[in-house]
Amino acid sequence: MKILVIEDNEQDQKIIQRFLRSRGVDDITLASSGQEGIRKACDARPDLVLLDTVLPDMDGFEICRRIKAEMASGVRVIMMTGHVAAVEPEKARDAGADEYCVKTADGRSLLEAVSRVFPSPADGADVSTAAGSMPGDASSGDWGPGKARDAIKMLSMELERKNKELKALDQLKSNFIANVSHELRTPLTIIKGAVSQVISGIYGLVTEEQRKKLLMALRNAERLNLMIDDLLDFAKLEAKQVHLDLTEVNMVELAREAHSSFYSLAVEKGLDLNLEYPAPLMRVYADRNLLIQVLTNLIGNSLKFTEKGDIKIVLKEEPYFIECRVADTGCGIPEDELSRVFDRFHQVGARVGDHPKGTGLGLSICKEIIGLHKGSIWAESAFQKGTAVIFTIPKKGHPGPEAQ
Amino acid sequence: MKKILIIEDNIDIAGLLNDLFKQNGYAAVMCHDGYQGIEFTHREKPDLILLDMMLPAGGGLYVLEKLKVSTLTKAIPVVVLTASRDMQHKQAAIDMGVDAYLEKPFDADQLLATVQGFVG
Repeated sequence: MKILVIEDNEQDQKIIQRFLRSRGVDDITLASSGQEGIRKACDARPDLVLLDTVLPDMDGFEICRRIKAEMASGVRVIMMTGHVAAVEPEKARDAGADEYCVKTADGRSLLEAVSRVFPSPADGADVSTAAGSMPGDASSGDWGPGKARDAIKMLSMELERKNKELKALDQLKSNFIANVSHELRTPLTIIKGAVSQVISGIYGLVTEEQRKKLLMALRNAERLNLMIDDLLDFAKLEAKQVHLDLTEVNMVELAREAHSSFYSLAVEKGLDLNLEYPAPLMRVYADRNLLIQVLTNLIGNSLKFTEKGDIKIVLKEEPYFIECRVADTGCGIPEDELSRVFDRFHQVGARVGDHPKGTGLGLSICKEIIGLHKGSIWAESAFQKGTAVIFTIPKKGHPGPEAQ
Repeated sequence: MKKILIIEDNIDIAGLLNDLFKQNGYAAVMCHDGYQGIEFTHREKPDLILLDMMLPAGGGLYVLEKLKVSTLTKAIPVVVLTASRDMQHKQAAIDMGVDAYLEKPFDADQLLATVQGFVG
């Protein structure tokens, strides 16, 4: 038997050759493109053409049509596909192919196709489709619209089941977080409410000493509050419970909002808080609330770690993204810690002679949020001189969150 | 004197809110579940409703809907107090016609200022 193999992938060519040889076929011609294949089909006049569905210069089905047209008499064409999911039996039929199979490592599908095209009493029995190719057995790549349809049906039922499971799990996570949120915030509400109200004097006169202690309790309730916020944000991001609410956002407007929130706090500490931007309109496609959270976090950090000097928010426009830089003249981050600041639970401060503040989750939350937006975030710092945290957000229309 | 209805199932929080409003010149009434709250509103027409979102029978959103759909009660300002930070919950309440949406733990001054903004 003379066989022409039209296949551009060298690996696959080798595999098919080896397989054919093992079955006693040594008259094998190879072609790696449609044009070459059609030419060689006319020149060599093979009995059988094994034709890949995807070739670099022409559509596989078109090649099939041409070969069948050029060689009116007796050439058989078997089309081969690499993907079980890309079953296109109708298309192959329409193009005139005699059979259609899947390229598998053991060549079983190919063997079965060949024996259907050239049935011989010798191998008819053992290559019968009864062995291992049950209706709906997707891996056999069995020819026939009915069987292909069964395979697809089974796959889509499986998909639907998995989808339902995922949705249920998602709902569980969402409920859990909502419950935990409520359970943690309720007692805290009571503590803060009760203490504030005692301080306000509505339950009777409060001595100065009592007031001091109550204020201390209140401050710590507030710290707990911030930590709970951090932890729940973190939990939501980890559980993939955060859904981006994407809209067109003007970074300048966002930065201005953050600037005015922190201005008085900065002034109180004796620091300058400046905002620089090249144009009044710098549009990105992002989740407004999440970006505000990032800015709040970064500016808050700068405030925490800067005793004198200034904090600068600088916006820059690049071709594909907007860059935002929050830079301070604070105590800086030691070089060996710089690469770890975005790690969860990492807290800068052990060497700066200060008690670690907060949860150490803030920057990792920022990293997650920026990651969800398909942006980048990194830090630059010089110990004792200052730190800058920079993040980028893709501009609308460029590979960004909507392109996922 | 302006009358404020507090719909909150946690007795401690309800009590604190009650004291806070009374101390600031308002008359306050407490209901511990949504149905009671709706019924009271129809009967007594408070000047403002403070609504917790996590209620036992009939959640906050259900109560909000009932209040905002009825011509008899929709003009009464509803201030939601919630432990949730979920933006979708917030949007749902806004879509339902909530007049203000505050987070728990609440800030007493902010709460009073909000209420004052609606009823004086």
